[in-house]
Amino acid sequence: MATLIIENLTKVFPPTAKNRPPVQAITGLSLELSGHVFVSVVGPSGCGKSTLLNILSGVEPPTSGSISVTKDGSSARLGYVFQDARLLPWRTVMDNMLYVQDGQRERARERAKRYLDMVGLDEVLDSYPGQLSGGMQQRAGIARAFSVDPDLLLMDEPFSHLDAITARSLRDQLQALWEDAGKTVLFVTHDIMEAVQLSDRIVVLSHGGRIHADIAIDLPRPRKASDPEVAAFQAEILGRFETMEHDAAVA
Amino acid sequence: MSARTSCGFAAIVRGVPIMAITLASTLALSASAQNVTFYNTLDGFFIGLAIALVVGIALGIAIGLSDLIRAFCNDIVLVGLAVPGVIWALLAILWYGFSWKTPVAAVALTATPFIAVNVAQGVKATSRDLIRMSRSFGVPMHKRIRHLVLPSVMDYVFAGFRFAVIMGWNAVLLAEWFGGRDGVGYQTRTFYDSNDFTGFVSWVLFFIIFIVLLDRLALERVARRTFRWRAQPAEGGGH
Repeated sequence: MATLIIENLTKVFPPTAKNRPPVQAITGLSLELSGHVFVSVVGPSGCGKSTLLNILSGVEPPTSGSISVTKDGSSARLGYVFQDARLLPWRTVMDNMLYVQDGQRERARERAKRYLDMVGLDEVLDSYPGQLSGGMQQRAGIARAFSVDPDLLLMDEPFSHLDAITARSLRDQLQALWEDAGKTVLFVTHDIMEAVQLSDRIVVLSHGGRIHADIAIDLPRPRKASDPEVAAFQAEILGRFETMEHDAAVA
Repeated sequence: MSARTSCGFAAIVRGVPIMAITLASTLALSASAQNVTFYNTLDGFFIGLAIALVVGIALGIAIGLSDLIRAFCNDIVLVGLAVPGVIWALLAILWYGFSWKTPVAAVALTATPFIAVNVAQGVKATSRDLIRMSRSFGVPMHKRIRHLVLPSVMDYVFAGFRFAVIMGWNAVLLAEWFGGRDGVGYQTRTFYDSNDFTGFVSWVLFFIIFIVLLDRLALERVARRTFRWRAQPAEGGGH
């Protein structure tokens, strides 16, 4: 488990064409999360969600502001789940797990095996990604992220490319995995239903990467998508979201 | 074996009797030194190709990954590409004379640029998503080159290698033709100089068979092994 502190983060992209203004992707964003929490960042497309993750993962430098990810004062280890599985097609499932791990091989293998078991992929360790369905590939991607034993887990709309039934079963699995493994998770999504079911806290971003709302969700776990409380909460957040969109359209 | 392969193979098999007769007559004419001759040539050819493969892949990856190395080496490789095999063969003779190094150098110098250019192209085509994934997880550079870049350029390696085989074969024959004391090229020239049409043609046919067999049997087999991850049928559903 880690502590993530984002302070006054701003990201401005240069103009996409001449005579256009620079693109303000994130504006003065501050956020703090720590411990065994599941925090979702939701917002309409183009609100800077992916930019935020790119900055956190070091792929993109921030324009200004600071980020620190620490565990007990020293720097923390990060794990990633992407929109698609991003497995090496020429390596087997197990070899894909080992590709991202360092340190002793046998222990890495054991760790990988444990998480592959948990997501139900224990029988396809020696299969190539091309032999697996999209859902199975994404589960391998999730197992890979857990298997590096990350202190902070960053997830970028991991279920958005899957069909609804597969996505639902993976959400339940992720919830169980998270409760069991005890990680700090930052989960980016545009799906409010999904965010309510999974999160302890939802950070709503509006256009330009400003925090519009920061909502705590204090519902008992494990939550099912069909729970009435979850459904009620989903409707409430959706309402707020629509107000925000409306305000943005008026302004 | 795929239908295409067996078709090509059948064509070769049909041509074999004619060639065999010609070749047998040649062999009868020129006694037992023939085999040794062929192996000498193959030695030079394969050593040259092996050098070209290793240097070409390393150079191609370096050019593809680093803009600095690209700026430095790209023009050199293009010049290498533009120099015809016959020039490399003659240069190799000037440098090494009647030595085993001559065909090796001729093959390596002719074939390397083909592989390097193809591989450099392939590096540029490496999946950006997989590169980002590797960077996010902090996979070290040597591991990335071995398990991400190298496998993803294998298609380009094979494409380049096919050309390299043909170009290299040219070069080795020319090097032996002009500057050998034995080897296939030298033998062919001897037949040519003594106006022995049968002997000459049988050697030429022999080259052709050899190259076709090498391509169809050896290369195709290696390719199938390398890309076996691609040919797998999907297992049943499951989410």
